[in-house]
Amino acid sequence: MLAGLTWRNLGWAFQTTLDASWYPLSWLSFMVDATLFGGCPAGPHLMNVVLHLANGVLLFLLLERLTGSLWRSAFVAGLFTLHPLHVESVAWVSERKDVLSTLFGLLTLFAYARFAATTSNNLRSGARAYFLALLLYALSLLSKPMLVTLPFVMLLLDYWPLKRNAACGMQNAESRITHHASRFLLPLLLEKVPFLLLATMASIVTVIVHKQVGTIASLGSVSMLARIENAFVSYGRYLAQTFWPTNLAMPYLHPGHWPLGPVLLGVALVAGFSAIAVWLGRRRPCLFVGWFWFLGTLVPVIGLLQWGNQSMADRFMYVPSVGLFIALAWGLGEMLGRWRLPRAAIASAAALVLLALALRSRDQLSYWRDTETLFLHTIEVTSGNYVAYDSVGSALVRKGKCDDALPFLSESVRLQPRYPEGQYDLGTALMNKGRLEEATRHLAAAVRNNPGFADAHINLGKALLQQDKLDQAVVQLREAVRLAPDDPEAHYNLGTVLLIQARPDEAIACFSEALKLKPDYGEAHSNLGIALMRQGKLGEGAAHLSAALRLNPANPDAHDNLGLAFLELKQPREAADQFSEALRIKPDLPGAHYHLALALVQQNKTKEALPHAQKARDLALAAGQSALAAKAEGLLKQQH
Amino acid sequence: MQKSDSAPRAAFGSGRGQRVCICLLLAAVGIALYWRAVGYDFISMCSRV
Repeated sequence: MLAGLTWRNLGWAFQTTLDASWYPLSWLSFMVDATLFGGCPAGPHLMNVVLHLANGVLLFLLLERLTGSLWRSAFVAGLFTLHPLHVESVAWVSERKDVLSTLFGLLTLFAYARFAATTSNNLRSGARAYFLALLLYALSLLSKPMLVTLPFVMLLLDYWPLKRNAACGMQNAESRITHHASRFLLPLLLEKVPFLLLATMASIVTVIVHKQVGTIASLGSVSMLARIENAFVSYGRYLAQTFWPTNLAMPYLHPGHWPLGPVLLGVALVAGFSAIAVWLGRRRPCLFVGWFWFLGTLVPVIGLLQWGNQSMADRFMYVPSVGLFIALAWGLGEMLGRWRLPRAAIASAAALVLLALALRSRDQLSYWRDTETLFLHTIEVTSGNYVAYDSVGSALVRKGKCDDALPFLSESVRLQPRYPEGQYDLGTALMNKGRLEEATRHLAAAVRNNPGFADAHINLGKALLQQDKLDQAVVQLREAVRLAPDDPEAHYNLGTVLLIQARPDEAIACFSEALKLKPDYGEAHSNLGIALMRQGKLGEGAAHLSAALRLNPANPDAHDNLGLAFLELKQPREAADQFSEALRIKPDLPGAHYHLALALVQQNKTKEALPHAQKARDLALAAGQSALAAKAEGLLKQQH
Repeated sequence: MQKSDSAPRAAFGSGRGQRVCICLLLAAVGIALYWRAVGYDFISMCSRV
């Protein structure tokens, strides 16, 4: 990714299912960021902001074009640009897919509006607009498959403000028989078929990818009843957050089952507003269109197909909120118009609403400063949020504050022992602290709760290796290699255990595979060098050890091993240089002292060799390495 | 297509001029709000949500 826009990365963008989704265009946009700005976060943030502002402007121009209503369109665009619910989509770089897919979605609607305005005199221009709309819609779906419901939005726009059903002769539909209405509606439906085909393809790809990665919850883990309950409650919560956007957080976790009260309230709100929208539909089509825009565009993410462990998300409202804003701006506008309120009063009220939203967004945006701040806020405004505790803990680990992180990671595991990421992060932190038995317990729990969690298998293997449980480590690392054959770390760690088990042939195969996947993997070069030397291939071994040192000149073990290769090749002077460098980097390496003593003896520098032999013996005794201490003692006696 | 909101147009001049002014205003307000985000760090969450 950081290599920017290259042919290789271009192919990768269309193949990867990283992040449990397929959105090649968003990956390409990140590559453009990397090409333009390098790896710093400022560039991607700037691009997200620019795309969001472009969406606000496009929404204004689209609504103004569709309705001819300048100030209501401006008000909706203002609400869209400034609403706190949209902070997540803008401030979270990962949600590039949100702002980018919406940009193409709005452009699709622009082209569609041009097509809809086509008369029989300019059919060619209409066809061009239609195919442009199809192309733009495909680009939107390639950015994020959120707008699979856009054909449905087009139908709503046909009803109002385009009034294409009327243009087809349905203005007096009540006086006609049903099959006439169907005949007039049919062309509107037929012209959406290519859009629906694109949406269907995007939906199928998304479901396949999520199932492959395992982010779609099975009906066994979240029952259909629980999903329906959550859908109704979420509709209610989205409505509430649109009109009173406080206590916004990321993520909102799925509670399993909701209490009956919120579910019934959600059902009542959805049913009540839907009934009102249908009832007023003919007289106030803006309310009908706005409400069903909101209701319909939320369907893919309302939780009937459960993604991950969330119940809802602010970012899911990026497009659906527009429906509510339209209903509000036009519905309220018409109502206030009937009351004949002064325009200045209406404009002042609208400006005050926008100012209040801007201030709330400014406050909300401040929580997105960094990972720790964001999830500490989530902990504050939600309860039992084990993902937030885990995320704060992991952020602290990355800052090197492992001791501060452990209480957060432990709390995450306490709140949800079956959360694999929490068990993994706690286990990894404990492993890095040297608390290997506890680490093994948590990493084993991570693997138990998610047997497909390759990184957990790797770290469990590493923890077992450090406890000399080599056979068990091999089992875990072989599973990691099976699950993630493209992960160089899995191959490297398996190779390391096999090398310790004196199985150099298998170890060499693992290190070679790791290097094929990651040619600049210093540790793999180093261990491959050692394995080759053990097979007597000193020249090849020395070449890999030299490569390891080129990649990481401060690796004392690689210097030590390269020195051994020179020693075997009867080049004691070069060997002594390597051992000296190893000791310069890490002065208390007993092996390097012993090896340096040997190299000096081979150069007949006995006087210089003796202090290193003594140091090797003392350090080896202190470290409990009796075999090495005995060898150093033997060398001392030999020289005396 | 509907036509409305015609009265305030006089204050801004032509319809095109009004549209440009509103677009610029939207962009300016949006930049004022979100400019801080350009200095923010990447967010890293430990879950697939």
